[in-house]
Amino acid sequence: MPQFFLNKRLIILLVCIIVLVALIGFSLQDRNKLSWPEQFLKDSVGWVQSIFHQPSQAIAGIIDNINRIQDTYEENKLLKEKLDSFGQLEAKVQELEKENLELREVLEKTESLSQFNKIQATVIGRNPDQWHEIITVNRGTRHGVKVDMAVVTSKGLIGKVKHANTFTSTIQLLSSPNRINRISAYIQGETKIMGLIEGYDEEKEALLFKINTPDAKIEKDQKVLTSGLGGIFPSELYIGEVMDVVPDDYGLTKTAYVKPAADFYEIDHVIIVERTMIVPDDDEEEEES
Amino acid sequence: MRRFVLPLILSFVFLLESSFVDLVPAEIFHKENVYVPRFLFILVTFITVYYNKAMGLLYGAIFGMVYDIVYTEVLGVYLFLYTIMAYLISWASRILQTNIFVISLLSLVGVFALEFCVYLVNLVIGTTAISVERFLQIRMLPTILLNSIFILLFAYPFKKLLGKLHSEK
Repeated sequence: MPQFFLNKRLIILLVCIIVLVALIGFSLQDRNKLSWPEQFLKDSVGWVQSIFHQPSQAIAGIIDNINRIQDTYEENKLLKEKLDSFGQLEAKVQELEKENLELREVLEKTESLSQFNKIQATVIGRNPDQWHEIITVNRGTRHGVKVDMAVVTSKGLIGKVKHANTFTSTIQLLSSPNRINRISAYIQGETKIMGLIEGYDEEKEALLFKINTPDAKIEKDQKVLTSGLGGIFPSELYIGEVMDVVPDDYGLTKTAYVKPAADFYEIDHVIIVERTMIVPDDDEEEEES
Repeated sequence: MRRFVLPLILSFVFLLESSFVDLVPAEIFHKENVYVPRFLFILVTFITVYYNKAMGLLYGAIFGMVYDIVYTEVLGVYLFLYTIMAYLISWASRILQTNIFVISLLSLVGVFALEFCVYLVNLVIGTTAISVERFLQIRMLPTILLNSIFILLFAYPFKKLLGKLHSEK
């Protein structure tokens, strides 16, 4: 009965495709939490990964060091030049910080959007297929990580927490072209130019920054920082510099291309940032209104 | 003891794929092109052809599912693709020969088809918007290159290991 077997196979294939579509649909809906089997599996694989990762990182580190020795001389020269001005700058920053603190005390306003707690984390894995730009770190809800927290490296903002499990969490990088990846930010200038980071241009390797006030004058190399408005991001996290400004299709708004300061490929250690200023819960807001 | 050899190797390679992407020097690998390691998939096709078809498909399904959950967080894609590609390759290998050269080439074709299907799925669900030409240029070519190097290095030793396991069974 060859015909029968052929039909059976076809039916199995069709059922498989239906299940596949259902599964994709299920995982694409906006879910804040993963289901417990997923969490369990992620945590256990994460545990093995963190053991596995250390020796491989050590080996990669050695190779990296050898590469870096080649341009040590050039770097050294550059760094020495920078170091001279650094001392002055540091003194000034300290002075300003102190002054800021004193003024705040005078105003009796000690809370600020720019204050945050840090959670140090190590990267233990990266999505190998590189379509979804996701990395896994070895800190989870047990250590205080929550969904949507900002994640930075020493160079600048790299992304936000997508899912937090008990012992590990996944971070969505800014380089994913996902439109959900929205961050309220501003361009530093004479006045603050507010806008939203909306997605990533893969060909230009730049973030897209939608500007709310199209009349504003923007120059190249101006710095872009988070504004801390909306969500639980703190303000004053460094994102990058303006590369280029283009008007929108209809000429009503402008989009700036922002070159991210952080390197999305060589990430070893990250800092998960928890804003100290409390976000009002949705329930409370409803009660008030 | 012998029964745990294959799962151990596969788990190791599964973790290796992630570490590989994370740790290779960025100057070489991430300038423009995207190299995607598909080492696990290649091993699964070898198992289906040289060891045990049902076993290979089962490994494909299990590791595909773990891949979905742990790495991509979009369920079903690799679970489905790993299994069906391995099945198609084992079917093709019965028509063609089970010569190591033919199977290596077949698994490369499998990698090609797998990458393309994943691209299509991502295009449909909106995680990417790059054009087909650009996809072929910056993703497909480097990926095929990387995986052919892997096959060149490990196809023969792995086939020998499978033969040994098979004869002992």
